[in-house]
Amino acid sequence: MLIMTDVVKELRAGATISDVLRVQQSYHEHRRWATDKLFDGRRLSSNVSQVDKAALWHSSRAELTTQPAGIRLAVDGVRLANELRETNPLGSDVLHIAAAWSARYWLEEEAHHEVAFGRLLDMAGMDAIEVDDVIEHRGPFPADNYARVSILQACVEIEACVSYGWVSRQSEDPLVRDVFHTIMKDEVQHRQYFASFAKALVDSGVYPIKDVLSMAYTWIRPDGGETFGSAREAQSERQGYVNWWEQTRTDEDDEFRLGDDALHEGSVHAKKLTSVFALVREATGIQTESYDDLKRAYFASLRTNDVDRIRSAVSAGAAREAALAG
Amino acid sequence: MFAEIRTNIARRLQLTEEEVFDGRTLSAVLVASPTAINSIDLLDAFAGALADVGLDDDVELPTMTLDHTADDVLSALRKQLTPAA
Repeated sequence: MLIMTDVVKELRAGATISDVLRVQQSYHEHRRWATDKLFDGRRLSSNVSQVDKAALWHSSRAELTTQPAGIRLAVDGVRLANELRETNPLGSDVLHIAAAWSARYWLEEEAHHEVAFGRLLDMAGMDAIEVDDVIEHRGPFPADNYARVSILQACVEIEACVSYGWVSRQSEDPLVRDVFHTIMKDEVQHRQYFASFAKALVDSGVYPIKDVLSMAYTWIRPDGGETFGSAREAQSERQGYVNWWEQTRTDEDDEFRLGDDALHEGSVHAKKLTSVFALVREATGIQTESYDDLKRAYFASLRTNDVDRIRSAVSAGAAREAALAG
Repeated sequence: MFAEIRTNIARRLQLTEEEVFDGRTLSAVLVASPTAINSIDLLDAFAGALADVGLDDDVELPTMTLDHTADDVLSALRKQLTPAA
């Protein structure tokens, strides 16, 4: 049982929206887990570290922001699908499929994450998230281009996968490890779905390739990319919506601070970058292996939507760089 | 070259040069543009204008918040293209 990674190919081969949703449903049922079962009869050991608690403090708040994003993708997906029904029925089908997945499975699965982390907060003796804080994290997600939001969400899922994976490896508490690992596995699937929707939106001609590349470029650019979150020199003011990665606590004297090893250093950062390059390849078919490659692909996509010409620009730029280095 | 970049930025935002470079903030440029929604559209406009004149590999677009102006961005690009004294 797998995620349909090439939705447009399936639709062109005769699959209907209902056929694709049936596969989504089967996969969802196959992978479901229950918070009651995960926590049943278990307690935290005395080995819950301050690093675990800091990760939990951040993760429990980050998960709150999925709900407004999921609602936005569900509502806007159907609206745009209806607008395109006559002019681009293939793209319209893709949007119905993405909107249904967001409304049904993404929101439901993310609810498990929110509740699981909330239970862990209680068990660790940490303060529950205050109501005002919860409400702030439910701020409405802004309207935007659907392909860009799909890539944005894929990048957010990558952040979660890598961070939760790091916690599940370094924690000495079995329950902390299990909760973070279980949720991480969900986030891996979500990233895959978002990649498939972005690819399908490009393949069906709803959006050009540049909309995938602009967001990936924005995410990892070394000077102020989104992945650097609160470490960036300046943050744009948001209108009601919380980008959790911009609120990471890193001050030395903050009891819930996250260290660089958990955020931007070594294997953690390298994994985030390679995952974004893989995302770009899956969504566009363009191979990038470095920030410079991605930048070249993005700039080329602003001149042409021809994938071969964009690929050529990437390889020509890399060859030029190699020649200069030699 | 910068005259061409200014022209291309305005064209990509579907605004006149005056509307982009009259000292208003980038957030005000966004409000004025009939097509741009958010900072990614501004990025597309500035990066696209650089791509139009073949400067892809020569500069890094500065990261600036929306309370800066389009001229602030161009000034930062000029500094990158000016050889150090």
